Formats: sequence, C-alpha cells, structure tokens
Amino acid sequence: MNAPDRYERFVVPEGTKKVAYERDMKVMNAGAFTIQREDHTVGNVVRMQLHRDPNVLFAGYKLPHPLQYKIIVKVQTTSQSSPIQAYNLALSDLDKELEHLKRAFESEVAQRQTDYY
Amino acid sequence: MEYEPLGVLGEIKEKGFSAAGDSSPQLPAITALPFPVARHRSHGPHWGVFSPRSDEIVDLDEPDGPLEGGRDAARPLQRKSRDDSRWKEVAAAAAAAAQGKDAVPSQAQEIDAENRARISSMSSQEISDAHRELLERLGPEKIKMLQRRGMEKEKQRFGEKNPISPEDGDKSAKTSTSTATPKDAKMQIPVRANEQEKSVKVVAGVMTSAWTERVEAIKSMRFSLDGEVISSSNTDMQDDSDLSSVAQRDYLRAEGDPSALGYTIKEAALLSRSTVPAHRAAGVQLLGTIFSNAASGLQDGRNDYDWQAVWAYCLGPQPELTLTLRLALDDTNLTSVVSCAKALQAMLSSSQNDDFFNLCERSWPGGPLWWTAPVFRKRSNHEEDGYLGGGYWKYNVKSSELLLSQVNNNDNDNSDTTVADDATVATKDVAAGFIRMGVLPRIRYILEVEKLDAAVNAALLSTLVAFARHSPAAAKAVMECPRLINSVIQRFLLPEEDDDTPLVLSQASKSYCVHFAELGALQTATSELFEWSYRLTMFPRAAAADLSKDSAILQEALRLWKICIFHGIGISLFADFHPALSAWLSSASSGDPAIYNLAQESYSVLEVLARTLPVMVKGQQHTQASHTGWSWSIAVPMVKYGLSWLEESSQGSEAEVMALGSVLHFLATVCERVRPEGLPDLVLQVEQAFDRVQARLVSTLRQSSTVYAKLTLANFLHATARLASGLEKLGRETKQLDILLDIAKEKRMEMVNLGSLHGEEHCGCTARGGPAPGLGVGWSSRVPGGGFCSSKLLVARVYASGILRLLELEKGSSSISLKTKLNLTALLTEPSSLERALSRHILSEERWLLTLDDAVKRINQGKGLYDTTQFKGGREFLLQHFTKFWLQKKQPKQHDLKKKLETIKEEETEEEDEEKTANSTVLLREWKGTRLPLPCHWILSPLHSKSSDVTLAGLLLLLGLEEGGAASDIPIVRKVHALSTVFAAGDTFLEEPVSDALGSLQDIYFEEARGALDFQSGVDADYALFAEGLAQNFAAASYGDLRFGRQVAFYLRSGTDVSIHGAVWRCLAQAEVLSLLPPVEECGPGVYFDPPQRSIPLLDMFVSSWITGGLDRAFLRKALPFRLALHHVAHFVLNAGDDETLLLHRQKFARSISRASRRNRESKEMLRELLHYFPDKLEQSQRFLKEAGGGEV
Repeated sequence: MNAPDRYERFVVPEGTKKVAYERDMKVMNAGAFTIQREDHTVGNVVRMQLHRDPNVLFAGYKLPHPLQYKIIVKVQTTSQSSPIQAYNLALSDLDKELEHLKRAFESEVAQRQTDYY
Repeated sequence: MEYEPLGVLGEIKEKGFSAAGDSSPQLPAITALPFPVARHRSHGPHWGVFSPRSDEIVDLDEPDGPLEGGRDAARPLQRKSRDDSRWKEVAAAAAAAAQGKDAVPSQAQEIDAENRARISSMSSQEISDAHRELLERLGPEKIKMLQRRGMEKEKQRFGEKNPISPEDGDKSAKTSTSTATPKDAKMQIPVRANEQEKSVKVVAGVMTSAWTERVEAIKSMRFSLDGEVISSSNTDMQDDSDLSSVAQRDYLRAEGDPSALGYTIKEAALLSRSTVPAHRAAGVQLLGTIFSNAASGLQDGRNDYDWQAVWAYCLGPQPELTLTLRLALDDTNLTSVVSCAKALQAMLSSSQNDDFFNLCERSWPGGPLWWTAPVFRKRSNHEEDGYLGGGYWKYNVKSSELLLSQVNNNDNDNSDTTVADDATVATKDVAAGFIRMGVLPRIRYILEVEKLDAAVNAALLSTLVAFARHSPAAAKAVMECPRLINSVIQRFLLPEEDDDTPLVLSQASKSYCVHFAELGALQTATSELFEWSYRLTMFPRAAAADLSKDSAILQEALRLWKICIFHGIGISLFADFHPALSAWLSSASSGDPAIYNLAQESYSVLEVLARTLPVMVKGQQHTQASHTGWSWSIAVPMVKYGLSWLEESSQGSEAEVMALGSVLHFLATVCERVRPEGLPDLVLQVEQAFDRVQARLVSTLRQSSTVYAKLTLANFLHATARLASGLEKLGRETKQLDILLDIAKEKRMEMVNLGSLHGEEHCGCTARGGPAPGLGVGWSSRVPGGGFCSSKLLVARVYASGILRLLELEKGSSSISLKTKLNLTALLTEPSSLERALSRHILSEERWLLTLDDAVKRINQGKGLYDTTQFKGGREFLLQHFTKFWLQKKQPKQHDLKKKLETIKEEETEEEDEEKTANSTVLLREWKGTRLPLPCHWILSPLHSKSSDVTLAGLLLLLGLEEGGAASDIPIVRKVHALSTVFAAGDTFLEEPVSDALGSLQDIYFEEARGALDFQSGVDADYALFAEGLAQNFAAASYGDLRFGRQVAFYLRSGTDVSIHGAVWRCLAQAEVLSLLPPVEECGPGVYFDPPQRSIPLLDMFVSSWITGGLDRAFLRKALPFRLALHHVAHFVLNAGDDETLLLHRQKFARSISRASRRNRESKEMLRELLHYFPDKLEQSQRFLKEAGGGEV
C-alpha cells in the first residue's frame, strides 16, 4: 500500500551523488563510502575485492535499513594507501576481472557455437 | 473378491478413526483445553523448583526419551502414568473417549455388530475402496500394532491376566508403556552425559514443561473432606467431562476411583454438579476448603505438598472450577450457596488480601496499595530495548473484556458473544471471568432477597470487596451494577454493621467517593462517631468500657473519612467530630490497645488533613483564594495533642508504638508545611518533645518477630526519619540519629537479600500469566511467603524508604555501603520515593563525584588522559534517563500533565513534590503501564540508551560502581550483555572516552567471568539473534576495533551455547573478518579451550573456514579464531579416543584439511601446526591423517 515505488531502488534521485565519501574522524586512514541505490550485490563484491588488497586493514559494508536503498562501505587502509585509492583500485580491478570473465565467456560461447554447427 | 473384515475393525472404530463411509454424525470435539495453554499465568519460568522430598524432584527433561533412563529410574513409578498422558492424544481421540469410557465388553460387541451390519450393507466395490483407504491411512506398522493390541484384548476377554494393560484397550495407548516398563530395563540404556546436560539446561521452554508436569500432578492428588492432601493416587483419571447420563453418573459414581480415600479436585467439581443437593453442597464445600488450604499453604511457604501447583491448578486454564462455582451460586439449595460464598471468598483469597491491605493502611502514606488483577510483563525485544527486560506490565484481561456495558443491560446486544468467551476470560483471569458471568447481580439478589445469616453475608461482602480491588474496570463494574451499592449501604451500614466495600471503592477514584458522599454513606458511617462523641462527653466512664468492642467499626469509619478527605470531601466534618477525636487523641497513657488503635487511625486522619494545610510563611498563612483545606487555627491545638503523646508515652507496646509512629508522621507533615521562618515557637516545641521521645520504647520491639511488630518498628523508623529531616530543614537538629542508625544497620542485611530476590524474580514474568499480585497474595517461588503483596515485602519496603530517608541526614561518609543502598532502592515501588533515592543517594552530587573519581582513575591508569570535571554533567543525563525510563508510566495522559503544571506554584519546592504524588486522585496504584519493581540490573539501562551522552554517563557510573565493589550483585551475564548493546548500536564505541571506559569494563569482566556465560537463560531465549547482529556490526563498521573484537570474543568461549557460538562464527566467516579478532592473550585467556568442542555442526564450521582460506590471515596474525579452530579440531580429530560413531566425521575433517593444504603456503603451515599440536603423539597423528587422506600428506 505505502511501499516505495520500484524505481526508487535503482534511480538515483536528482541532486544526489551516486557515491559520497566521508572521512572518519575517529580513526586514522579510514572513511565511509555511501553508495546510493545499491545493495548486497555490489556491496559484497566490492568488500571482497577490497579484502584482497594487502594495504586494506578493514573493509565492511552494511545496508543501514531495508527500505533505504543505499549501502555504506567502510574502509581502513595502511598509511601507504588511502581509502579512496584502495576503493578506486578495487573498482578498476573488478572492472578488469569482470571484463575478462565476459570475454572468456563470449569466446567460449562462440567456440561452442562453431563446434555445434 | 469376497471381502473378509479384519478382526480389529471394532477397535479401530473405538479409537476414533472414523471408518470409511461412516456417515453417522461425529460427536462434537471436546472444547475444554488441554492443561497448559499458552498465554496463561501457569506459563513461564518464574516458578522455582519445588523439592520438598527427594522423590518429588521435578524433572526438567522430556518425560519419556530413552536417554533419560537413569533419571527415570530414580523417579517413583507411579508418576509415570501421568507423565505419559499426552494431552494431544486425548484431544485428538476426543470423540473416541466418549465411547471408550464405557467400553465394557458388551458395548464392544455392540460396536462390532454395528460394523458388521454396515459392511453387509455396502457393495463390494465400496468395501474394497474403504479397505484401501484405511490401509493407506494406517501404514503397515500401525496395522501390526493394532493387530497385536487386538490380540491382547482378545486374551483379556477370555480372562487371561494381562500385566501390560490392566485397563481397557482404549487406555492402553496411554498406559502400556508406562506401567509396564520395568525399572531395570530402562536403567540398562546408556546415558550420554552430554545429552543429559542439555536436557537439564533451564531454557524457558523446558522450564515450562517442568512446571506443566507439576500442575498436572495435582490432577491425581486426593484431598480429604477438610481439604488436606491424602495422597497422590496413581489412578489414571479418565476424562469425565463428558459423561452422558447424569443419573447414571450420580448413582454409579464410576469415574475416577470411587473406592479410594478422598477426592481429586476434578471429582469434587463433578460432585458439585450432581442432581442430589447434598452432593452438591459437599462438593462445593470441599472445593472451598481446598482453595483456602492452597492459598494459606502458598502464603506460608509450606513445603509439605506442592501448594503452589495446587493453587495454579485451581485458578488454572481450565475454566471448570470457575464455572462450577458460578453455577453453585445459582443453586436453589441454600447450603450450596452458602458453601459457594465461602469458596468464592477463598478463591479470591479475600482474607489474606484483607490482612495485607489492613497492614498497608497502617503504614504511611497508606500504601502503596496495588490493584490485585493478574498482570504480565511486556516481553523485552531485540529492537526496542535490546533485551533489557523489565518491560511494562499489562493486565491478563483487557478491561473491555469485562463486558461492563452488558453487566448493565443484560442481554440486549450480546448476540456475538458466547458462553465460550466467558470461559476464555475465566481461563485468563478468574475474577474477571466471574464478573463477566454476571456474578454481581446474583450477589445482590442473594443479599437483598435471601436474608442469609451474618457469616454468609460477610463472605459475600468480602467477595465484593475482592472484586472491587481487582482492577479499575472491575471497580467500575461493582459501582455500576444497578442497586448493588445501594442495597449494600441500606442493609449493612444502616443497621451499623462493619463493611468496607465503600472504603475500597472510594480508594479507587474520586468520583466514586463523591457518589458515596451523596448517598449519605459517609454520614451514616460517621454517625457512629457522632454518637460516640456524645456519649464520651456525657458518660465518660461507661462509654469507655464499650469502646473497645466497637473500635473496629470506628476504625473503618475513620478510614473511610480519611479517604474522603484525601479527595477533598468532608473536611468540614472535622468540627463535628472534634470532641470524639480529642477523647482518644489525648489519651496517651491509657494503656488500652483499642484506644491506641483508634488514636493511630485518628492521627493518620489528621495527617491527611495536615496535607491540606496552606504553606505557612513568616507567621502568616500563604492562603490561596480557592483554598478549601484545613486551617492552621485548628491544626495548632491538634499538634499540641500530638506533643503530649511524645512526652507521655511509656510502655512500648506494639499498638502504642504504632500510634506513636502515626503521631510522628502527623508532626512531620505539619513540619513540611512550615517554612523556616514560620511558627518558630511551635517548631521549637516539636523539637524539644521529639528529643524526649524514648527511643528505648523501640528496643522491646527489636527482638520481636511478628509481622505486626516488624511493621510497627519499620513505620516508627520511617516516621522518625521523616520528622527528623523535616526539622532539619527548619534549621533544627535532633539527637536521635545514632540510635536510629543502629536499627537501620541491624535490619539492612535482611532487607538487602529480599530486595535482590524480589527484583530478579519479577523481571522474568514476560508471558501472559505472570504471578497474580493479589490472588494468593502474590505468588512467589523464591521468597517463601513473599510475593507482590506480602507482608514481608511490605515491611521491607517501609524499612527501605525509612532507612534511605534516615541516611539523607547523615553527615560525612555514609555508614551503609552504596551496594546496600542500591539494593534498598530496588525494593521501593513508589516512583516519588525512588526518584528521591536516586537524586539523594545513588546519584547525589557528592556520590557522583566519588563515582566519577573512581571511574576516571581506572580509565586513566596513571596516564592522565581525562579529568573528572569534564564528565560532571553526566549526572543530569542519568537522572533524566532513569526517571523517564523506569519511573514514568507508559502513556501519561495529556490532561493530567496539564493539571499538574497549573498547580505548580513558584513558592513550592521539591518537598511538596512528594506530597503531590501522594495527593493524586487515585489511591490504588495500577501495575499496568509501569516498569516497577525495578529489576536487579536496572542500573544498566543507560547502556541501552540511544543517546551517546547517556551511554557515556552510564558507563562511567557502572565503572565507578565496579571499582567501589557496589555492582557485584548484578549478574555478570547482564553486564556483559549491556556492554554488547553499546557495541551493537551505531559507532558510539569509537568515541574516545566511551571506548576507554568500555575497555576498562571489559578488563574487569574478563576477570569476573571465569567460565561460560549462559546468555539464553540469563538474558533471553532468542539470544543468538542478538549475537548475530553484534557480529554483523563488527564486520560492517568496527574498523577492526580492538575492544569490539574482545567483546565478540565473549561469545566464542567454550561452553557458550552452540547456537550463539555458531551464529557469531558464521557471521564473521561470511564477512571474512575472522582475522580481525585480537589474539587470545588480549581476550582473557583460559576460557576458550576447555572442554574441547564436540558439536559436529560447529566443528564443521571451523573446518570449512579452515579449508576455504578464511583462517589464513587469522593464522598469520595469531588471531583468536585460528587458535580456537586449531585447538578444537585437533582435539576432535586427533584426540577423540575410540568412539566409533565419531570416526567418520574425524576422517572427513582430516581428509578435507590435508587436501586443502596444497592450496597455498599458509595452509601448509597450518597443517603443520595441527600435526604438532600434540608433540608426544606426532607419529600417531601423522598416521591418522595419512590414512584418512588416502596418503596425500
């Protein structure tokens, strides 16, 4: 009845940034990324990628509320890196990895198709 | 195909399986509920374990699991019959039971014949269809079982003695396993210690089933005609509620065990439904005696039988007894009605309540009095209060369910309500059930028409009183029942008899009181007083002789008047009564207890009057225009009377000291109405007289052990403390303090014990059906004879408030420790005095600074990080929090608040606040909507707060208390849990002072908790949910905080319940944060490894984290999870002994781990650690791993 509209889950409202970064004042080299209109799908994969980075001391994410369509990713790094750097690195790595996955998949499909016909 | 009917068909029909194609109408299912239904007062773990004799020890386990063989053997065999009577079976086989009851052979034959006839009328196709359907429904095992039973029955029919089922075949389902199983056969079954431990664990559900068994046992208990228990018979009670033919039942009396000695409760109830009047009367009479014995047994804490269970059974969820009594009251046979009146009185425990309320009347300020309706506490939940417990109370029965409107206009619109609704209400709350079933008009009728003798009327009247005391809604019902009150007044007040229904009702509300005044009840009642004042002035000698006879009535009259004054009615009557009052106000040395009692009552009237005095400022009355109260011109002579008491009192008898206490209360109230500059002469006189009060008077009472003497002493102490503090405020000092402090110290230990028990007990009554505060004078399992409304607790409360009041006057360091003060505070039930205790003792400015000092010293640890002054403001936060959280009612009514705000005048200061609460319009206090009494961990509530300021202040308070050793009475589980809530909510834990305080507290609790913590029974049965949330927050927002990690480690101790341990581990593993936990040395070592874990699911989790690389980083960092997994897996895989059942699991784990070791360097290292875990068994370990892994190592 008063459920939010479906599109609210993925359409970022005007005037809101897709990703906002806030440095944590209580902890060194730490900060929180608020990613609008995303959920566990992105949160989990980003966190796991961040965990692979040896410079990342802590990476975690949470959905603050099931009806607030955003996630908060918290990152803490060593002094050799910074949360933003680690975050960007993680994203670009993920991008490459997924691109690779896609290409491998496509070539495999193409291979199979030629075999089949 | 020719069909041959099976030989067992008759039995099948009998068992309640409707044979296929059987179109005969089904008997209606029994509507009575099986004994333990949810949401009833008999539910819940607040019942203590009853163990008067060794063979009655209550088992907490399931009754007939094979593993409990050893336990079963220790139990007397007779109990088995009850244990096995599964209610579900009974309910399911309801229809069958109806027929099965009279299953004498002849009837079985009849059924058989009927079946054959039916079969012959069916076509062969129909028969084979039915046959197939039957077979499908039953399955081969059941068929076999039925066939076997059929054989047995066959044998029995031929007269063979059959030891297995002595009763009819239909009963054998219940009894065969139980009575037949020989003791030693069961003993041979091996008992695994592990399993047994689990079954003993007291979680709510198991506790409930143990309690259910105790109540079930009452069914077979037999009572003699005077209500004493004769024996617990082992006869299997048949379900008698549906005996079809009344006539047959009455003359044959075949149910139960007719030849046995005595009656069970059920039989008595049946007897009272007999067609023979004498039977009925006897039955009701018997019930009445059982009730009164149970109530008194419960109250006295008698241990000979399980009276608690008897009482619960009587008021239990079967509405049977309520219905029986209600019907008996309608009986045409007067003897039954008379017995019923008495039974009702006992069932509502009127006399015990009367005693209690009488005692209450005598203590200042006339209370606290509580409504007596059964209540339960709102269940604490994870989201709202983080399992803090101590929720708001609710009534078992909503006031709308009392059906007030329909008590008035009988059956106008009750088309949608049925008798079943009445029964449902009766199951939840007996008294409410009675009212709903229209007991009030019936009582009125009996009072008006039957003209029974005085004793019966007294019983009926006290029943009415009990109803009026039940709840506001019930009081309204009594008031609004047409002509009821009128006829009570007409019949009893006019012929000058004793009655206190109006008294109780006028306590209920101001409007009722006005009503009484209009009706002239007050005038009638007080006409006694007129008469006495006349007689006393005219013939002082003769009258004095009669006085003692009538003193009880006079006391009641005075009380009624007192309440009227409380509501501002009848103050002007004072002038009329003055002569009579003055007669006993001044008779300090008469030595007659009756007069003392009267004097005590009179002074408490004066005390209430004095509350209406205008405030005296600088020798003149500060009169408000609308002032209707007492005036000083009358009060001053009364004070003189009081002073004469102080000087003349001599003997120190109980009544005298009680009266003296009353005088002191009166003087104290007067003093509170005087400003320092007003009436200096009077105050001086009071002071002088007060100093001359012989404190030695009290010494005789100090040794006395009767309740009344104790109360007298407590009241005296309280009064003295009040007067002393009143005088001090006026700039005077007293010399009595030392003696009083002596008494206080002497009494405090007793009170402290009571206090902590009290708080703990009432914390857990979350299911509907916590103890009824009024019926049976508040049930209590931990304090014998002390429930909600018990004299024991009343005395303790009066002491507590007296002692706390007294301690306010102390100069310098306190003679009583803070811990004691905390316990005393937990005893208080009045919000106003609690607030006072909070602001003047626990959180007084001085005390707070000391606490802060301790706390800051601990946090700093010599480093000088913080300064005490920066936390000073925390006191305000805490005071606000405590007041709002614990003391305020749930929904303060808006207009009430406004009214209060208007009446606050500039001149009034804090001491009036107390009086104002006492002056509020309602004298009886409702449990509903309050959180009192305080649970023993109430001091932890700021940690559950959402405001970080409050949380910080709460942490500092707790730390200060811990340093001072004052918090040691709070269960450690609660304290650890409170810390966890701080971590689980938001990121307050990262802020500087908070995190340091948390760390210091953790250090203390690592020391204190040297073992597993049972969160499930200590906090909540669903604790795993909370633990999971905590772990999630750790994974998402902790930044790997050291303190947070240490907190999580509390849940990974060995011996923590597997569900909690597993939930936390799973959460951490999924988020890959196991490595963030600190090394074991940081988390209070020594509690994580012993005993080695044996739970397969948990070990499975360890191993899967191991082989998927979840522990790699934990291994590098030497974090706790790796050490945990290593230890438990090593012990399980390499050191588990020769248990064949576990071998498969051990091999599986070993295989997985050795395969995974090829993954990377870390896992190889980890495997090496595992192999070398038992250095002396290295070869053995290697061999085992090799074998298990197929030579892969």
